Amino acid sequence: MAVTPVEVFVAAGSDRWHDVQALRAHELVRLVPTPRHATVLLVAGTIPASAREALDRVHDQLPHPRAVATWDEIVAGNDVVDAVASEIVGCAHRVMADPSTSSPGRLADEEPNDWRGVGPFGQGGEGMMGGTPYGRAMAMTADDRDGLSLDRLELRLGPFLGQLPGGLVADVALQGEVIQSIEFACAGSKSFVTADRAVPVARRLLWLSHALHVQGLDAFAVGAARLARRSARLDDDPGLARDFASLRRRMRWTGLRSALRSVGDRDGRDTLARWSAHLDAIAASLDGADSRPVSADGSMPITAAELAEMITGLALTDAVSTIIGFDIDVPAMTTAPVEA
Amino acid sequence: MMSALAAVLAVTAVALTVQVAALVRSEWADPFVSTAPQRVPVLGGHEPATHAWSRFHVRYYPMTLVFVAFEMEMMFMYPWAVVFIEEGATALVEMGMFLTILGVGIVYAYKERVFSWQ
Repeated sequence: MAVTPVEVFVAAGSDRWHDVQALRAHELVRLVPTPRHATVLLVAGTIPASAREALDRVHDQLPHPRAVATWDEIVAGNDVVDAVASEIVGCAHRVMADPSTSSPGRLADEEPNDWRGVGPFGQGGEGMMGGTPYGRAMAMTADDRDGLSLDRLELRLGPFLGQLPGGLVADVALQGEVIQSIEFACAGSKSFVTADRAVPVARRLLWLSHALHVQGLDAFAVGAARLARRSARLDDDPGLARDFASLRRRMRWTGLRSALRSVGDRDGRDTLARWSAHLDAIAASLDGADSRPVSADGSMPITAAELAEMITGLALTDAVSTIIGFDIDVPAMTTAPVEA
Repeated sequence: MMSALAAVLAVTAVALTVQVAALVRSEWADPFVSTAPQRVPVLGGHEPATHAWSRFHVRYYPMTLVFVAFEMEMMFMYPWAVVFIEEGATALVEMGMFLTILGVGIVYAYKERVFSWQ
């Protein structure tokens, strides 16, 4: 019987972020890109103290009636994804049946600045730019890369932004859609942010699932997540390599190549080349050849500072594609020791 | 006639009642109104410090100015040429005044370096 999937927003710590992507394969839940679309907030992995307020804000951004499920508190049997999906569906049904049990707000319902009634029209400021019209200051101009003066929008993205890896926090300055500067929160300037080690093929397929979702190819993302679940269940699934090859073949007809070509060039390799390296590594693992790191060709590892320098000047969408193309190892990035 | 008016009034009354009921339902009876955190753009957990209203350069503005300065005078010159035969010096003076006003725009554009290649 067809059922409507429960819409879930995931707030995942960096240690659980790849695991959560497997939920895309489950027919009873649907991962949504913003909390506004969701009924259930799924909290997964270790949430550092510095991210607690961010988690509370994301929680409060879910519309009522809403519920919260916690991955690490769910007692799983053989299949943790099934158990988590069942818990999510149960939470959604309970809160829909009795909206009074909706999870209450955690942050104060207060505007960031007192603005009502201030100014000649009660809009919070004087003129077009003064004060805090409607609660927030206006962005001020600064010179951009073309020598013009444009408004400079400074944002802190993450740690629970659906397009970026869980736990990744980036301070971005935008003018228009162009990134003027970006800085990643990381433990040390020497830490490699790419997963330059041998990882299970299931994890690589989960990376692929998220990367396809970011490119707007959700049906393909579901396909990759299903392959990841199959590879995690069975060590030796003879049809897996064939089905991955089929998925890869169909991906060629999506326009992905033109979207990734010439984006994020580094050492003569663009995001498309990095995707190809990932896909080749997955295919090699599924063929039983080895589980060599994607960086075996020597061009994948990159530090956070190098990545920031690389994507400065790109449009925001191209920057996100570039970041995702590196399969950032966020736990290693945020816990790496600072080298002397 | 009266029955038709009564029908219109009845429909109006029903429509107003339904609209007022919907307003009451949404404004007062709904326990879930949006809160301050829900009105914040989704950035993954943090609040923006400033509005997302960004001012952009209107790059076509100088081109518009130059278009008006040169094109408008040509548009009026053709009919003016016909009138000039009949009116003579009067038409010449009037067109001179018109061109002077447009000329101020061209001077302004020159001062703003509209004609310098970038």
